[in-house]
Amino acid sequence: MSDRDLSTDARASFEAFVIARMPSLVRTATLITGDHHDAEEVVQVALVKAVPHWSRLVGDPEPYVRRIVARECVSRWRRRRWREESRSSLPDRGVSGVDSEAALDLRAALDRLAPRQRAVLVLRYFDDLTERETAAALGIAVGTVKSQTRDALARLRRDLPGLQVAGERRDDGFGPARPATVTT
Amino acid sequence: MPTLQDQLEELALREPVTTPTTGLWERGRRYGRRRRAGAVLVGGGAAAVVLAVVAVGWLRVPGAADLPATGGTLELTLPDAFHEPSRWLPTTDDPPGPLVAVIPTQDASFWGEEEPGVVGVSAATGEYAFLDLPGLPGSPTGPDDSTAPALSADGRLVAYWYVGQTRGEPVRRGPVLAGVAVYDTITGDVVRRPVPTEHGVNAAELTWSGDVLWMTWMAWDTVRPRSATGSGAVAWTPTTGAEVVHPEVSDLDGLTAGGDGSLVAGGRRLGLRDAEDPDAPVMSWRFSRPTTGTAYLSPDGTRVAALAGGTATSDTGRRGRLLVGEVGAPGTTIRLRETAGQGWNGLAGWRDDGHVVASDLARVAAEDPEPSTLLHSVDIITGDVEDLVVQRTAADGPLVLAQDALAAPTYDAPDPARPLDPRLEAALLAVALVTGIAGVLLWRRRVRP
Repeated sequence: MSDRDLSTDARASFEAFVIARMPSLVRTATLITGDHHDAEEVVQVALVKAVPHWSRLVGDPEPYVRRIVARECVSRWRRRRWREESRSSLPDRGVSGVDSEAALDLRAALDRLAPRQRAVLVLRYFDDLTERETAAALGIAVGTVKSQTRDALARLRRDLPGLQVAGERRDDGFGPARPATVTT
Repeated sequence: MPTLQDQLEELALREPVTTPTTGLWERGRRYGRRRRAGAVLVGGGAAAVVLAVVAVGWLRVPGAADLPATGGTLELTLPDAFHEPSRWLPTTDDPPGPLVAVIPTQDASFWGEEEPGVVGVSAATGEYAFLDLPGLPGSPTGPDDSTAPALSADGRLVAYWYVGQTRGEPVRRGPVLAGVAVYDTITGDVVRRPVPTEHGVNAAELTWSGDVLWMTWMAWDTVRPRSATGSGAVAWTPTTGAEVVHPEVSDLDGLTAGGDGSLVAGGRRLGLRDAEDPDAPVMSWRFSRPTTGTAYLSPDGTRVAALAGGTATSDTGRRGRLLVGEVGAPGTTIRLRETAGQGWNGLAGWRDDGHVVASDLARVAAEDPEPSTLLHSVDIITGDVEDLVVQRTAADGPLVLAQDALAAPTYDAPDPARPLDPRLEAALLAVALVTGIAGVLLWRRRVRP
């Protein structure tokens, strides 16, 4: 098979991945950054950055792309938060669509979390990643994932009394589940 | 009540995903090319700096000299110039082969600390390198510190005083001289001749005469530094281990090599001391006129050369006329006659039976801060002078020439090796590498898709 054929195959594989996985990646990025437009840009950047390595990613490119998305989200959100704090007041974010009261409260509570806590929470409870996968995506230790998760949940529970969190799986995904619901 | 997962799902689905999916592949290819080009540029720049540092270091080490052909491995050649050796010269790993000269100087470690060292000038290549002399004093060994090495006439053996232990309490802290070692520049072997003392040696001298190494020393009698000293003198043949004690010899200052290991003394008389029989009377001749303390016998032993006494000294720069006389039967008077031409600051020996090697001090170039020692071959009949060697060595000790080199053919000495300060070299390489790596990483992070 020639280089040209390989390149054509890689491109086809890439475009299939984009069509299949981009919406999911954008949603994850939206939750981490808190800004839909930022999230779309982050995912585009992540996918563009993945292209030079695509021939080596064939098979399971998602962990690599997700890692770029997660890290880019955290760094962007940090930069954005710093700019917003420098302006002394947060910009008024327009609300579109019909949101439930609980979801709006959750968004406000997420805004008050540290960037990495927010990312850990989204990857663990929205993307349903294990602690090990979350650690790999963010480039941090598993112990840090545990502590950040614990701190983030404690903070959310302070802001949102009555928050319920579905049961955590064991890290290996097997064995008996922990208590299914935590009620505060 | 909805769980955290439900609420996250609701938030995520709030906005429709309208991100365009076309053109990403092309953008990615362009991004990859920019990233690679930048990395090549920055990495190439760092590599160029590294290469430049290495090249500068390489250029400061001259190529091999164009030496005249010689008849055998022990034949010497004489460079027309000796230079001040760099303190950053390398140390020889293997025996360097016969040397045309040794130069006592300061050897610097990587961290810039200096300690006494001895540079050898290879007779085969003209290259300079520090000699690996085990036991060489790393710091001053006494108030007189007269521990200059001696080089055998054929340039093969380097004799030097080594440091060690005294039998009793040493008179001073720090290294004390413990004996004489002889380093073979061909085999690398070192032969030692200990000089056991109770409290240490405070002055020591060495002179080669043929295969015989004359060694004298002064040793403290008590542990008080200003106490009286005893002395010793031995004519030692390292190749055979034979040695003869010479109680009548107190020091070697101004003595030169005669034939068969004997010593020659100048002054108002010419004296010749036999190495093998300490009880034999010193053969003596009167000079028809006084000379400086140093006299040289010609290779065939029929003539003697000296400078007119009372004036010539290399310390003051004053010159004396060259005197040459025929050596007759012991006890007779040697008629010294002046050679034509200028006066000289000193003598180094005979080039052949018709030419004496004389020295004077002069600035070779107007910008030279210090005068250099110039060696000339002087025809003893006509007084004609031929330039031989320029010694640009203002090192810690005098240049020590292999006596046979005075008779050797000369060649154009290459420029001296000037290795870069290894600390500067390491720092430049480290800066180039760190800058290169940081530049590549920074570029790879900053280049936007």
